[in-house]
Amino acid sequence: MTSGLLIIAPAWNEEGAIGGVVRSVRQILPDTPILVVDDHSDDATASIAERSGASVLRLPIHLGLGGCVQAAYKLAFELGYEYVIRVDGDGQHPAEEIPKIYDALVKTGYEVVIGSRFVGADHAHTSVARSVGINFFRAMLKPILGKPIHDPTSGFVGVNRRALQVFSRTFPLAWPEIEVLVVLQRRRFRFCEVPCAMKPRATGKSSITPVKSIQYMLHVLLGVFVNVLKADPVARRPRSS
Amino acid sequence: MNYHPLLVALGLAIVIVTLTSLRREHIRTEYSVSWLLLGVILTAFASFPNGLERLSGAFGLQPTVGFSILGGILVAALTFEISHVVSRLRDENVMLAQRLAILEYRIQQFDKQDRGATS
Repeated sequence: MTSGLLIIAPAWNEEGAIGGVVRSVRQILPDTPILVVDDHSDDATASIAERSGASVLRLPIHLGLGGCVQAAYKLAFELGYEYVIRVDGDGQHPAEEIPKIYDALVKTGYEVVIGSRFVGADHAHTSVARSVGINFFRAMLKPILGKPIHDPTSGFVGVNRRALQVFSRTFPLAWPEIEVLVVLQRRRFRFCEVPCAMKPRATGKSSITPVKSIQYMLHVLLGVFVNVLKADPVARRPRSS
Repeated sequence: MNYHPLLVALGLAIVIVTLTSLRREHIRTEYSVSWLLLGVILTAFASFPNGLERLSGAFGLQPTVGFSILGGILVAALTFEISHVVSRLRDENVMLAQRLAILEYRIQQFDKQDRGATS
């Protein structure tokens, strides 16, 4: 059912959640390999992931989310995978939703499919501050992408081999989700969103603090601006899809 | 107050510290050029204030203001160069860390296969 698919789970100090994430993926997709990318955790994330049945890619230094995800994309590309779906290591992305993303990748042929908590989902677990940020980025991205995006900060993302090839060469290193959308547009890649339920993080605390939120906004704004500047006008015209 | 001797000393100090660091291999030649340039320009303008006065006059500035602007430009150029180098090093660092992790992963997979084949 899911041939050529690799599930990746970037994780940093997620010993409380990663075992559950791996087990739930293995329960839903027993034949699909899962790769946990351990971003140089201080805790037992890597060993718990391994014991739970995942392969573990251990980063020798802490790279941050973008570097962590890109390492997995590089490995997946080298190993010849056709599709990669990313789930967060904190348990927010239910394994039951993975087949929806996989089916959309295969059926549409789009380079990227985003699991969205705001398209047709009943509940969206998100803070007020994050909602404000999401709305801001929605408004900003719409004219750039040429179509609306409902959940621009979602990390529940599936990519096909064409996207893997590009992302293994160039990928935003710090907070990748939004910048990646602009990179997609530059490459004339197509994306769609599929409705996915999401859960609050299973254990532990989010690393996002108020100061980091401001850093995030500024960094992403600059990243989007730079990527828009890099774009050539012809490539930015959306393909008919 | 005549501040020129102080600036000459500062310029010479920059040149001497940079050359010493180069000799001890604490700094690489390609990254020392900007510092040497800063030290030499500072020393030259502080030693020959007439040149700076003429240059500042051409822009309608007081020599002190002209000197401050020149210093600011040089420091900004140096900072930019450092940012450039750090950014490149960061990219290279990320790439190397990813490559190392991938190689380690693949070696472990080969080891597992090998153990599976021999047992």
